[in-house]
Amino acid sequence: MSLATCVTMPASTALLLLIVKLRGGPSPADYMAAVDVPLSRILGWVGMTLILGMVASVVSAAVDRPIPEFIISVYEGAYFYPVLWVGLVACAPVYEEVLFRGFMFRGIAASPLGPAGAVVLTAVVWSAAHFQYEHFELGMLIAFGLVLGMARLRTRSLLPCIAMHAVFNLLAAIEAMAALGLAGW
Amino acid sequence: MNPGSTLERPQEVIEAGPAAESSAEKGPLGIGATFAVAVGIWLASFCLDFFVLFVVTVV
Repeated sequence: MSLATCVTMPASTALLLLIVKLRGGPSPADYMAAVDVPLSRILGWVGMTLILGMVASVVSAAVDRPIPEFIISVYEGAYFYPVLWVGLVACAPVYEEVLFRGFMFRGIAASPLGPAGAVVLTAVVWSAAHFQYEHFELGMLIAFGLVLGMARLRTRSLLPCIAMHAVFNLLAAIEAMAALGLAGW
Repeated sequence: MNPGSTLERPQEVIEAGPAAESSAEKGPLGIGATFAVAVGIWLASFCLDFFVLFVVTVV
């Protein structure tokens, strides 16, 4: 599954960028808002992600939430953990952020729903796309999706979103590895 | 100001001609087309996922 992620997500990202390029108009980078942002601003949003991740961990522990079955099956099916980590921390964040906070955000923000509608709708749709999780995890994903949308709106760039998503997935991966006792791989 | 006046357009667009002008003025996709393309990409990634899994596990 991790190998499939490493193949599929870059290919899907490339396909989306190709569609935007073939359509004409703004370049794919402009369309997706892949513009430079000062590192200090990116780090600020990453810090907010760390706080959100810690809150999620504390709430999960407080309600004695088990590790989702999907996560367990992913780790059990992984042949080589570094490939899984590349998929989780690099391929998935880039693909999902380009699709949701890049492509979809741009289209929805230009519609009558406006930028606020784009923040909410991309968070809801992105969360719904993770249908492999249960309601508790989906709720957390909506909360994180709203923060990602706010970062996209405030910075006018996709780059902080990719950095935040990568850090969020990295935290989740470390937490899952520790909980599953796989730290000594 | 008269809409469409050359005063409102970037100089490089005016110099490049009508083709560049229509390309530069092209805005984002509408919300319906945006969702259609996004769902298409998402489904394509699923199909590719299953194909890669098939290749890895069966072939």
